[in-house]
Amino acid sequence: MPDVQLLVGTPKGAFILDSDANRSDWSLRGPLCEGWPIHDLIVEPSSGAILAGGGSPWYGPAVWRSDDAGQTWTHSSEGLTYGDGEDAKAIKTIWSLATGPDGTVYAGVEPAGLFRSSDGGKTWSHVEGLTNHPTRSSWQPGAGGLILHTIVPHPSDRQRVWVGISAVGVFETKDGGATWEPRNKGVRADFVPGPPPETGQCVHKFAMAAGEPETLYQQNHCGQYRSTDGGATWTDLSKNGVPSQFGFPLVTHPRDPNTFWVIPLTEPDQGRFMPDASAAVWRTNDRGDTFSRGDAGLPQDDAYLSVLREAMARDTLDPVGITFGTKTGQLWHSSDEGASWQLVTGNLPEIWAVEAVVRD
Amino acid sequence: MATVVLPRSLLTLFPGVERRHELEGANVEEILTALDAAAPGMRDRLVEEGPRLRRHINVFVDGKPADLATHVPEDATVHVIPAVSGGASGTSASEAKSGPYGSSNGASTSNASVRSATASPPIAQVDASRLRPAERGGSPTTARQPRSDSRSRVVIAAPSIASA
Repeated sequence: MPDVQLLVGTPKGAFILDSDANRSDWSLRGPLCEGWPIHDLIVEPSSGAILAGGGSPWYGPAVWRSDDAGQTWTHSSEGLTYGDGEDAKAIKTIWSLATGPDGTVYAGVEPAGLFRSSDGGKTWSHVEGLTNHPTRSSWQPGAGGLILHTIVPHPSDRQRVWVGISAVGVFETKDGGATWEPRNKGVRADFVPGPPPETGQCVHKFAMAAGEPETLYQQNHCGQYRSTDGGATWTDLSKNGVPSQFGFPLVTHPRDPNTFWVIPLTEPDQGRFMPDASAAVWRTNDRGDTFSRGDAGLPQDDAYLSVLREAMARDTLDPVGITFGTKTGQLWHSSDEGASWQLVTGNLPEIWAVEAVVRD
Repeated sequence: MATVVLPRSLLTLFPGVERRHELEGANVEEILTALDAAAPGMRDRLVEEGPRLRRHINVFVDGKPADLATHVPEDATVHVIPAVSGGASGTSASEAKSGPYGSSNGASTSNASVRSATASPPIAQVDASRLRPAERGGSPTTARQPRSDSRSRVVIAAPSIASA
């Protein structure tokens, strides 16, 4: 019987919750990573190691690694730099981590840029092609900063990677990072006048459909979207039944390419909490043509909950387990694909990231 | 030979490293380079791109605030102390350094629905092969210029995402 781990990133360190496959009884460990703010955690498929990305306000950015399921950790930032100089931009923190099909580890940082490691995170090199993109001088930070928060490597083609940068948009490389193309056509940018620009769209999160590398789903500042051509064009889904176009997280089903989950929130000037203060996770089974509400067990009154972009995850069991964490430290879990929910813990720090791991 | 005194929060990242070191160096930068030889990777934790001291790291030479270029006399005492200003989540890059006292990032973990098993701080292990960051070229950011409209229309757009 496999075990399940929930990896949680917060401003006050990482936490790990362990359970058996029933996912009904969790034990909590933490704070880990010496209490550093942790924005993202992943598992390296080849080794099972946990990688955690973040940055200390005193000691700078680093990627932490544990090869024993979170018992002991190392940390490194060797090569995580844009270089020295009078106008040098200091890297503040790691925002996102991902692994490619060849074992490459990617790290997205603030200010926005991409780094990669071929030794499991010990040393890093700058993917200069993205930083040198012709639009770079026009990139501006969103509310969360100028952050590269989403990395989606192609599952088999090591040359292809998509990244998402807040208030800048989605980019894709097809040549291993040497050159990048914006992938924002069809995505609205309601905060600037005129037709949608080539870049400047405020992507909040996007993910790949299971088994369909050309199908991407996106939660944007201005709507939910679907692309079936690798991000070349996007179709707006925000009129298809969700209560708000705004939200942060989006996760895809591990086996069904038609299914994904989002958590709509009220607009930024309306508080960024679940609409009507009634908690729900919304699911589509038809690629975003329709959405249905899952709220059994969630608070339906006075629930001013907000969920950040990396704070929802799914496991790979059947039925799929879904977990989300709130800005107010509650961790909710569903072991029936979002139909019903249980509070795992309510007293964590602000939850920035959640990852679910199944270990055999 | 200067005496260098390190903060406890830094030592937790480098298990086995002593709090006090006797090091040679004509200025703070040379002292930190010598420190990095003794504890590989430690310079990265104290020095950011520039190079300059990280925003919330204070160094004092014989009790006086110092930067990387500050001269270190023979027999000086060099204190490395985290600034109190680093404690706030989301600390703005525009915030200046302040006092010489650090603060901790503890967290509560107990909850009735969870078997609470808050662990002792983990034993971090230092990879001795770590080196200082290689110097790499980077493009500095520049602010976007306001969009112009040749017909001088006034358009009221949705609230800025930067202020949202």
